[in-house]
Amino acid sequence: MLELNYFLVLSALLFSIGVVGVLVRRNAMIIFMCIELMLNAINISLVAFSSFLGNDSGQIFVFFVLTVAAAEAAVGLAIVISLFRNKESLDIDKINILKW
Amino acid sequence: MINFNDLKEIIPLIIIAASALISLLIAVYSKKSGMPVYVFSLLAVLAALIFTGLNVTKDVIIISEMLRINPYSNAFCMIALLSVFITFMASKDYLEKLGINFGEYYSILLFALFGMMTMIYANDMLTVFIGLETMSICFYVLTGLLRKRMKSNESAMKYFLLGAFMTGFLLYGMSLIYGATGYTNITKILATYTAIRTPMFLIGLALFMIGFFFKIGIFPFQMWIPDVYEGAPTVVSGMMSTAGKVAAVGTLIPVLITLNLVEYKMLFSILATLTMLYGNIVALSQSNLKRLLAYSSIASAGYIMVGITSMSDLSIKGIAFYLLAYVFMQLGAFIVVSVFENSTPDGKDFRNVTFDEYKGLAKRSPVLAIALTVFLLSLAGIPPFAGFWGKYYIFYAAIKSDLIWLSVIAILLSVISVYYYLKVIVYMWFKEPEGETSGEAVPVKALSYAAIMVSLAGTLLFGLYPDLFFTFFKFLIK
Amino acid sequence: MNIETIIFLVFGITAVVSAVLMVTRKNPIISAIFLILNFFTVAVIYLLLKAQFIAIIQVLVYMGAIMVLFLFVIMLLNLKENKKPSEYSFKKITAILISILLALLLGTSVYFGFQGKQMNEVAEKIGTAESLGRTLFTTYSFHVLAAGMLLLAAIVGAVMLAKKKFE
Repeated sequence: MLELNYFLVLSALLFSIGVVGVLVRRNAMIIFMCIELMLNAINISLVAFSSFLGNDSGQIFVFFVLTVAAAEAAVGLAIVISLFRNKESLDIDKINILKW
Repeated sequence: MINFNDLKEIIPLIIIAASALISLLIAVYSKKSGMPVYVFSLLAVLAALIFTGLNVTKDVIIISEMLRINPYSNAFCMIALLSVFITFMASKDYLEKLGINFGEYYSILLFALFGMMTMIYANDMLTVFIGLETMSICFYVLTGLLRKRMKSNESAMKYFLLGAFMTGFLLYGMSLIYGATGYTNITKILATYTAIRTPMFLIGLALFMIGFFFKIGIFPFQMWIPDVYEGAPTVVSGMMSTAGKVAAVGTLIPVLITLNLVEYKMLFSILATLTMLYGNIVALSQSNLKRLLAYSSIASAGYIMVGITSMSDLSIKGIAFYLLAYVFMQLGAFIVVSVFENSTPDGKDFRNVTFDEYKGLAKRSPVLAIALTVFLLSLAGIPPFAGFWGKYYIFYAAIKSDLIWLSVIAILLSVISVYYYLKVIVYMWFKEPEGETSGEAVPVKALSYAAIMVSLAGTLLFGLYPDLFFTFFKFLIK
Repeated sequence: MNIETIIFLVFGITAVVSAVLMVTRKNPIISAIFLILNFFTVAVIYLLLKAQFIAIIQVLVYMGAIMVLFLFVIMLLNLKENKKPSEYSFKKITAILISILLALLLGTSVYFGFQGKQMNEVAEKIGTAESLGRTLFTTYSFHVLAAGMLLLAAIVGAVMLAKKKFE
């Protein structure tokens, strides 16, 4: 039978892959997609906890994470567009103050 | 379920939510003049402030235990409301000067305020999450408001990417806390005594706190602050550094105090020390006033962290007072900068933000110079201004809980901070003005003037009569 | 090995592989498509967890709305492929090491922290649209309203930032 920790390990793996992506990639769009991947990994662990605990708050939580992801996508893409209008590039190495 | 009796308890929240929606409509129907929406939102914030003040001693848990209205949350809410009120007063003139006086600015700020209040009143992790995200999304937009300016775009991008990244950690922490305890409700989580010392819970809590430390600006999550505050419109930077911090601290502190993690005091003290060190040392080499204020905001995050480390009722008192003083002095300083600041001829960058441009300000506009001097001295913690008492209460609480070495470090570092604040003051008072605009008085519009005066009055009032605060919030004296 | 474990392994491995490919591809469009594949596999994982409604929402909202928005913006901006070869700087290697450390820490701690838990019998019931809808509009009604405020703020904000002529 499937156990809770299989799902949690999958979630931890996907989360860490997302973190690598955010830290390594230089394209703002791809960084943004890596953040979406992280949110998705979190959703897996929330749903897993919810099913294994027999408690629905986790699934409700996922609902709102989805809502927030949609809102963030709207604002984030608007910022990308307004930046692109001035700069014609999304390579964050070319954006001076974006180095971290 | 929401029932009618619950709604009575959250009138301030409803006022802010409703006025955010109404102000959007007003902005649509009065495109030409920004005045109606400005007056409306100012009155709405004032009304919410009064209603919160009237019911400050309430202590109830409402709406299916999702919100908790208690004196602490009311106090933090009032400080956030006050900060947004002063920001509103100063916004109109500044935005007109930069040509971005959109009516929607006011509704976005009201939406952000709604998020902050939801977050402070939250009694459920989901409420915290939604409030925090509402606030953050509005902050991303406000940071990028100067759409033609490269710096504003870049800092919005940076803030957005880092903010969303850190939200990921916060959420992962929330999911682990939920897994370890089985609840999302904060009261219930804190009541599960066996679960809240398990390693899973502590890892979750650590990730949760990372998310908040990012918002407050605790080392090592402070790197975004100078860039974002420099690029954002100045009044917005002032609001983010005060109201944003109040909201994050007001949400985190009640949880941490109840958890009482005494065995991790050392870790917290180290974080506090590093934050104060970073803020104060890097500030020494700054020559841009907006960046200087950003570093001073990191330093004050360090002082707040000292308060968090002491983990006593006394320290909540100290932090609440410090934040109130901080709203007046930090926001006041940002508003003075916003009044003096101008655009370069091509509209691409800020002018009058480096120290050199402040030379001889005292001769040009003595009132502005006096106000900025008071704010900076108060930030440095010199009596008789409010900032001194804020630091005093925080360090007093730290000494009471046996953190003498930490308070000694904090006091030493705030002595260092006097140096860089004095540098600006010396430039203003003892150097001759230069450049083509030398000698001319800085034009100040009436509303910005009023905002500066309110901040000045607050800094002086709470400096001379610190007891006023505690008399008002009687509950804080036990 | 029963059928559920096989499904889990197949889709779990696909999820990880597609995530890795998403992170490593140079062309943002290809990255986005691998991300869509990842979202699909995750939807199957939700079905294994008996969360049918969330699985459907994942397909409709994440894959159908959010990712289409992403692809639309990528194509609108016509991002050029990054031609320069990727270099392995010190910073990148530390970033990768930190992330591997994070994966090990989180992976082992959740593996040993929640061992031996079996699926709850009520899981079948709570994942349906009916049961989730009931909870959402009673216990969590405040959050539905607050989320509405959040979405409105995001829409207004997005228009403020991205509209060409705004006054």
